[in-house]
Amino acid sequence: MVRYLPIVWSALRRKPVRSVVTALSIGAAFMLFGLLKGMTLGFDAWLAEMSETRLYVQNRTLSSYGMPITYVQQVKEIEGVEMALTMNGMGGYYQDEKNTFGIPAVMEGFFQMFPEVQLPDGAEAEFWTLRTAAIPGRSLAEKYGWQVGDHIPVIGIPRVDGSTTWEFDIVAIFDTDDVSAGLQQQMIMQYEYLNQSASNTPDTIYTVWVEAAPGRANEISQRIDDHFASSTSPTSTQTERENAENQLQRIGDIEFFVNAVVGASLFTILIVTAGTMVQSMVERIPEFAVLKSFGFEIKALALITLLESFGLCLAGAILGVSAAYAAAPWVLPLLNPIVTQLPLSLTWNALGVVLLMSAICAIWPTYRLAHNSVVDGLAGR
Amino acid sequence: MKQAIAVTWINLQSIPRRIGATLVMVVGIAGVVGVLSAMLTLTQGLAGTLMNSSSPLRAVMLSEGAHFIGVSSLSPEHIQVTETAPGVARLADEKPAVSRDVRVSVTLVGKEDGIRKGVVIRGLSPSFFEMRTDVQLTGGRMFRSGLNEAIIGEQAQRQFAGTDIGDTIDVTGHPLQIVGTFTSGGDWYESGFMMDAQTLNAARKTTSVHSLIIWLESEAAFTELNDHVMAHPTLKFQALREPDYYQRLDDAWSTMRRLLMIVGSIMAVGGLFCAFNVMYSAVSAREVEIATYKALGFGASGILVSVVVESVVVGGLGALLGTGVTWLLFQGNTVTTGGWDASVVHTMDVSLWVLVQGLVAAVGIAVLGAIIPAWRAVRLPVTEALRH
Repeated sequence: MVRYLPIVWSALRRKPVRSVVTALSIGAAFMLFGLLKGMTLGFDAWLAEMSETRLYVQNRTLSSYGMPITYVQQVKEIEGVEMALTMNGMGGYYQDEKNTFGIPAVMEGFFQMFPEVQLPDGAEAEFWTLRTAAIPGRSLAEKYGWQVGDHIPVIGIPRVDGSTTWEFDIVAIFDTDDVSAGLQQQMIMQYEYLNQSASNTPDTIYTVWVEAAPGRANEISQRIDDHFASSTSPTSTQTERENAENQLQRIGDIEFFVNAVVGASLFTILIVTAGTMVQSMVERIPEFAVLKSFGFEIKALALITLLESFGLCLAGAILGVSAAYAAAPWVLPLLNPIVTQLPLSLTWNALGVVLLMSAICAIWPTYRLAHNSVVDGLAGR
Repeated sequence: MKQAIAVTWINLQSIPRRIGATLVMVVGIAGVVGVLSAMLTLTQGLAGTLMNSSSPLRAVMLSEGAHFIGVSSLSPEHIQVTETAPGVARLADEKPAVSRDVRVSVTLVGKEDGIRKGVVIRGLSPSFFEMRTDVQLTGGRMFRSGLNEAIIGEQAQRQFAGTDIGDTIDVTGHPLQIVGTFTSGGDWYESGFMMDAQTLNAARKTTSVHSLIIWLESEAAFTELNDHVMAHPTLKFQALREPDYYQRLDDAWSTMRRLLMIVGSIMAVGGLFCAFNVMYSAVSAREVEIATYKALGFGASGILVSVVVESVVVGGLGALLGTGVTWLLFQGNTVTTGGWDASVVHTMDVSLWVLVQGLVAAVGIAVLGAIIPAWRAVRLPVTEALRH
């Protein structure tokens, strides 16, 4: 195979402008593929990371109806429940109205139940002692240049006193691993602060988070829902993963959309590349005929064609996927709050597409070569 | 000029000889324009549905700092102050044309995809229906106040299961019966339910509303209303012109538009390279022909124009094909764009305007892609080209 490389190389260099521009247009398609497919792969990775033992209880009719706060204690007493707490939250913005971020309000036990939120030593104790304490994620803090010790005003939901300005004191900054990096766009506050200061109904909770005994998630979900079935607010309990899947679906059918766009663009580029390949082959019919008359078998010629299209596609893919990785930190946050970096698995997916694409592009030229006699070929027909 | 037309005409007639490469460009541009027009149809339909819901003759009252209705809350005192404000239009009985706006969401299952999505139930005052004469009952009857009854928009009824007249849906433990259907000129209201505000508030056990809809005496009367609001700083509420309010809402749905920008620009770059490539080989294929023109004393402009026009014609065909495919796939489809608690249902319409935008994009790509190949054609050394 190696000995054909000089032939392939000289074929690609025959019309350098055409080869480069073809690679660039393939690159554009792969950049799109990289960003969009990478994003859905990121969603998959995010879902896979979701806990199967963490349960999420909400009002069955609609989550925004809420439940009485007494539900937390009642859930705690259900057999098999290891930990239960509630979380509330609001959206808020700092200086720039256009950039709203999430502010989850949490209760004690939160940092034990969510180990993906990583705190520096001693930060937790400090957080619980100060009512206005806040812990922003690393990327949010960097965006606004917040430091530990800063006192910041955030515009959020109306307060009992009628104002919408919430004062916070930053006591720490949290980190996460890469998969949960989206969490870093949020800022954690105390549940009590929100519950007592917000003007909406106090002591109404919207979620109960439950850590279930390992391997018994379904059974315990059922138990919780049965317990509240005849109360004023029947519940619906799902594992964290099921809930996340529902959320993703509700945003819109992303998977379908991405596949449609990526499919259309790759199909287009496939036609363009195949067209270029056919054209370059037609121009070299006499050369291939010479090779044939030297005794090159059709297999060898097919391999040369394949290598040529593989070279073009690979060059384009390397360009496009690198561009996608480089652009991701700017582009992805514009599109979703969860996946902000492209996963490594994208590379393998792209390589698969390259192989498939180059094989398809080589089919027609190879067919032509196989059915062309040496005499016709030498005559340039 | 005559030369340019002649050369261009001869060139266009020669396209069938280079049909392979030309088709590549048609497909390339069609792919770009097809994706672009599908996304344009989607975003513009959404924006249209939201903007249809607004009128410059109406204003919206919200809590101070609330950037959308869900986080706004107004008390009876706010309502009273608003109803006595100057600039507010009057109903037939001289009462102020102000409607309460209360909204709760329910989740309903989509008929096609089986996914649960949020649908808005709006509680409105009788004044709303007196002022909005374009709201038409299309089936069943109007809801009665005091009873847990609602009417549903036709768009919502098409999209969600279990929403026929006579069906009941569960709202905070109260069954709500659907008694009629309505249209309201393709605005956002049609994506949800309407019922009586007081009845809905009784179920919510509250007297506060999310916002107020105010009909103004004239567009200019907004200033009077706003001054009146400003004169009550302790109440901490704000008046917004309805178009401004819906514009802001539309911004909140802007993810789709950002996606359009990103996908559109990357695909346009790809299309540009494709056009360049095809025109470049078209010029290569025409080397002898172009050199002959030159030898005959034809000017540079004719040759230049012939290359650019070929590119534009081929690109235009691609745009027509792309928009055509989009039209075949999506025309008349109803789509639901999900917010967290409020879906917007609209019908996809691949309009002439979308076609025009697609054509503009295709022509832009075609001209840009043809510049360098055209330049090369002009600079082609005659003797060398004729030697082939």
